[in-house]
Amino acid sequence: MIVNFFILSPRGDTVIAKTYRAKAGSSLLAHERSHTEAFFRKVKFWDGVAPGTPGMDTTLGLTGGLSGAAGLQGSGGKWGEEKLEKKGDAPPVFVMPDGYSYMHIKRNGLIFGCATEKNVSPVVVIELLSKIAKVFKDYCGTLSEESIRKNFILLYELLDELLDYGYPQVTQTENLKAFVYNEPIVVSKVADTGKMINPKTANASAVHKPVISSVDADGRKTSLSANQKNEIFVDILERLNVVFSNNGYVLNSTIDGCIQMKSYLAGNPQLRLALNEDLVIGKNNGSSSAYSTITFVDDINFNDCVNLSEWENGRTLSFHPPDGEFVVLNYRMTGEFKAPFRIFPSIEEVEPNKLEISVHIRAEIPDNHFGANVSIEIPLPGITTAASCSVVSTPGAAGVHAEYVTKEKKIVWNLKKFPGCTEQTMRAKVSLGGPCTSQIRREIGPINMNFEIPMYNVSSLQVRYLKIAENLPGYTPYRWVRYVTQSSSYVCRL
Amino acid sequence: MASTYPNTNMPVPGGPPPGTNGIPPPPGQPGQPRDESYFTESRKGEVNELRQLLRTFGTEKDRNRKRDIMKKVIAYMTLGIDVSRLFTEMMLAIETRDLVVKKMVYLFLCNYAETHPDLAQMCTNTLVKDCGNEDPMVRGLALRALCSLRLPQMIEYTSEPLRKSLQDGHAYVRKTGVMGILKMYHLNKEEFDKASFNDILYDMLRDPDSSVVTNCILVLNEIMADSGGMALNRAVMLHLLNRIHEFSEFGILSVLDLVPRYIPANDEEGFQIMNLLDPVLRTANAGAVVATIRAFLSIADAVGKRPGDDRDPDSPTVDDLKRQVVVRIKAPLVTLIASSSNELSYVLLKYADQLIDLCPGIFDDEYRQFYVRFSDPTHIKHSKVRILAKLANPQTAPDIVSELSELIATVDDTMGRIAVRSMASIAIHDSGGEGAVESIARRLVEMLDLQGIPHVSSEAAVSLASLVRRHPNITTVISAPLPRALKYITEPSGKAALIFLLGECGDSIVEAPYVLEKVIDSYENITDTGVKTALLGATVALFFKRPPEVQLMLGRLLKKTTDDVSSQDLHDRALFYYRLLRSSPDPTLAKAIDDDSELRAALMNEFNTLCTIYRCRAENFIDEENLVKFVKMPPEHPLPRDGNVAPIVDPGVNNLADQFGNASVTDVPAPAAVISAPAYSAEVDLLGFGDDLAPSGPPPLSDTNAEAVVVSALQMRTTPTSTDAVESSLGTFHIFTMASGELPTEFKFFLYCQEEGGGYFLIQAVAQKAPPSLALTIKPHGGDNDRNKRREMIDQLIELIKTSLGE
Repeated sequence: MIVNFFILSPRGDTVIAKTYRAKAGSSLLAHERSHTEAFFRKVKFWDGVAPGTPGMDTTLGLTGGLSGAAGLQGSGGKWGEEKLEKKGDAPPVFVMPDGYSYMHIKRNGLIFGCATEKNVSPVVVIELLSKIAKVFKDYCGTLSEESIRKNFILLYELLDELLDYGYPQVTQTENLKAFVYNEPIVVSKVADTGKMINPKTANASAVHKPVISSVDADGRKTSLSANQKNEIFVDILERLNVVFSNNGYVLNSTIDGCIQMKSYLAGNPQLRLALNEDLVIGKNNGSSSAYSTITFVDDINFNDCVNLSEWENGRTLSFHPPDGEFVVLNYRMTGEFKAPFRIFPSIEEVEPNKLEISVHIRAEIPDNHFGANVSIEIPLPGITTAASCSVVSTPGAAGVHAEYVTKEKKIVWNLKKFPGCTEQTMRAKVSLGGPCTSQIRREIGPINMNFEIPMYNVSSLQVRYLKIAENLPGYTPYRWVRYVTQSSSYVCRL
Repeated sequence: MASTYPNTNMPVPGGPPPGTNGIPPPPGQPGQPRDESYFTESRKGEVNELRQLLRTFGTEKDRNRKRDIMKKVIAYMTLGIDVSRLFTEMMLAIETRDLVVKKMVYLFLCNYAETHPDLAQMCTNTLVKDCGNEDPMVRGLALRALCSLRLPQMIEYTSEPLRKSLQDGHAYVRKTGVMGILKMYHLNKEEFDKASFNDILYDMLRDPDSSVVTNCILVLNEIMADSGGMALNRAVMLHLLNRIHEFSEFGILSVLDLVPRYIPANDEEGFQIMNLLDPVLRTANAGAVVATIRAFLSIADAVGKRPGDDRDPDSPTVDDLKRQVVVRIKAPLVTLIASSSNELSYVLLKYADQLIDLCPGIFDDEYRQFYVRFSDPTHIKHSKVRILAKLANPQTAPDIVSELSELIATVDDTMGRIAVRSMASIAIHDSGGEGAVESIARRLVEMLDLQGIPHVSSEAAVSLASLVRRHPNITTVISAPLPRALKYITEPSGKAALIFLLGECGDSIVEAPYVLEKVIDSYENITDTGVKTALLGATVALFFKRPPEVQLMLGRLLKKTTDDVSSQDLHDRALFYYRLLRSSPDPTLAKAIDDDSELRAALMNEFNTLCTIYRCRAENFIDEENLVKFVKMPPEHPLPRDGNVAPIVDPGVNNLADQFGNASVTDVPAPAAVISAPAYSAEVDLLGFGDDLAPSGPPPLSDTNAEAVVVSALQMRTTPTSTDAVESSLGTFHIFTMASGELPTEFKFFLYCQEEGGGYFLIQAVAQKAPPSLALTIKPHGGDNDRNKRREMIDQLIELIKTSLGE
């Protein structure tokens, strides 16, 4: 299925590399670097054109009726190559001049990649790479260049069992345990979670513990009991996609939600998870107000391990939690919901070369909740010469700061804490290098907002209970259930 | 654990490994804590120092220090430093009980075997010996190392351990052995053919461990690639489908990928396979979901009615079925796109794109899911914008068009271009309903004036050009700003498009000839061939509309272009027009719109491959040697095409009880001997393979020549623990399970076996849990007619079953 596998650091160094198949007659060793180097350059400096075969729709070729335009007097044919030197993000699948298709995923800045010579299913290969990354994370505790370098022997050991001759073999974290003899070396956590002001916002993935007993960086064995503490971490995570018009009206809104778990329960008992009994799956086409108590979910999918026999009647799932982090279910909602923050922008032209922008944000969540790590970005026109910002905050808001970032031509407004039921305002005086035409006006915006709201979910999906199926006396696991709402794409147009 | 290296004078690898934040200890400092910085720059003499260390390996007692020495060697190796000089020393360490060290030595060995074949050959004995180790883990590891050496001269050593491994008691070894066969195949095809592993592999498709089965399928598909992939018949397909829930998340793909190659025996069976696979669509396993989509589409292709088919007029056509399939998979696919990582979303968007092309209209109501998100990487944004255009219908078009117009002014130029094109595409395909074409044309005209964003105005011109070809009547809407736009659009493609438009709209633009004349007069300044060709075409077109004004300038232009040697194409075209005009034929030239339906159909056949991503045929990017043309099988079915009995075995226990009555399950050929159980060998041909690849036809149902024997309420001492245990125990007696299940009060088994004379027995066994008792229904079928003999056999059979159930 794949000929090799490699992990590249953010600078392009090969951290892990393994070749599963060599072309007949050539000794393509795992550590031959020229190929991965060329691949890395391509990813890093993506120019919109995949090298390799002509006639491939790697760039823009809109098919169908537009091919008429492409054929326009023979100039459109080369359109892709000539005009699209603008950089973008490299797609995860493309062909390289060596004739192989390279596929990659990015995790924590690292590139997990592989190449294939066959016409494989790209979905499967991408899933395989994600799986490898997940297994590595489960075994190392954290996924970073340092943790991978320190555990390289363990990871090669894992790779040997994960893949044989390029085909996936044993891929489940718990099944792999039987084949692995190295102990992970725990790398002290990088302080990248420092920006979290409240430990409640840390989700299950913030638990950095390997699934098997480990040694710390000094080679001392960490106490086994720390790992055997009966714990289970459950997250109900909702990511919001909302678009507002400039008058605060919601143009489009969707929720992508998931229930994610990380289990350290001894004995791997069967768990039962119950959701709202009135949960309805399918599009809510009727009037939502009449059925406001019913939770509508457009669609839902489940992890392979979940038993659905009680789903249709009781909205209850049962499963044996696999080791490590896993997603129990994903759901998606397009029905109307109350946006947690509403954005009201206004732009005034005070003088021909001067603009006054004010952005007013109202938190429509209960006052016992708050938005954490809120960040609002307002792009300004390219001809902006200066901007000064002032903020009006209500009590309770913490860590408020707004400034104009000259290099990126945008205003960045941060609030460490945005309490519920309050309103925050930011005003900016913007000086332009020329008169503000309608052209220039178009360059302002859209306003993009990032936030997370701990212990709050927007949809009415609820976990009724999570319990251990059999009644085991004396078995009292710690349950850490968290609701987290995050912005995925929270945008206001101007 | 020791915190120092045994030899404190040894330089400790210093220097931070690239990318680690840790501050490295100064090198050479004694008493250094164990630093895991194995990755360091190579220094002269370090390999020699490693050699010194390795010499102490044998005397070293501490397990962790031993491991550390090995780790250092492997670290150097993976860095690309040649440590092959240590080969001899490393091989001394191969005799160890510590699996961590053993694995490292194997890794070293496989890495350098190819460059040091002689040295590698010396280790063969150890490896072969390890293949017989008592620990299955060691057996598997040694076998994998042995097969991975890539030394053709080693075949003679590997062949025997391989053969033995296939009958190993541990699944890990069998699975490794099966993959070893593939390695051997690629190493030396002639030797491989002599060894004739194929039949064994086909036999192993019924291995109790699903990971072994998965590898068998993968290996057979690769070995048989030249003849269209693994040979497939009904028995194999149904056997695998019935066990599908046993497979791992990647293993299931090997089975699902076989389904599109399988031609269902009749319509009923096709639908049953679909029902069986339907639960897969509810999982979050994207690979399995897309494989199921492909399987469904393929079944729809096989069972749907085609035009000219003389079947029941009410049965659904291929297109109807495909639409139904796409309707079914829409929600799961969209959910996967929304919930997956960026990389997976991108790939799945490409799949959605193709399915939308296949069945336009079905995804329309989900158009908001394809709106661009702020956080999406550019390649996802681009894919979404392209898809949005295809989701337009009279209801959705207004929303989509206004969403697209929000995107044209973004920082990402490419994105702006695609948004303009997508918008135009809605108008070109006329999918936006009444008035949409005109309103889009107006928007595009507005964009022509967006001087600040030159790429958008240029793109708008190109789009308008395509639009005019499709809807010539809109020329009145767009003509006014064209002359002024020509002044500020600089991009060649946009300029060429504008010139083309001037030619097309010549009727309604009074000044068109004079605008073009200016361009013709500055012909020498035009560098782009596209602009020149457009100018030529437009002038000729205008000539037919307004001959008196254009004639002279056309003459000048034809002179200039025929003298122009910069482009062969332009030159030839000019000559062509010139000659055409001289002979004054009918000037209406047929205009053709590209039709890519053929390409689309070809791509659909390759659904769920890289073709979906690249949108081109596999031949264009896959080496010939790696191209596999899978063949649909089996070519003929023993069952009548329109048979109404659905013979697929459903894993549900209750449904099966009904089927049991009418004995249709005998279609699964089960020629395995009951009484005299020979050792498991290649001769046992459970699945109807062997020399004749076609399945042996099922016995005719009518000649059921004996009554079923019912044995009820046999006393049992214990109840079975699990169905798996019973099944594997029954398997040793060559009694095979079609289906089994555990109910709250009882176990149910549906079994079959064959006697030596060729007759079959079908058995239904119900084991009550409390009190433990057993009820059997045995149905003989064919075979010996002697009542006494039969009774004798049935008695033996009952004993065997009782034993298996834990008596």
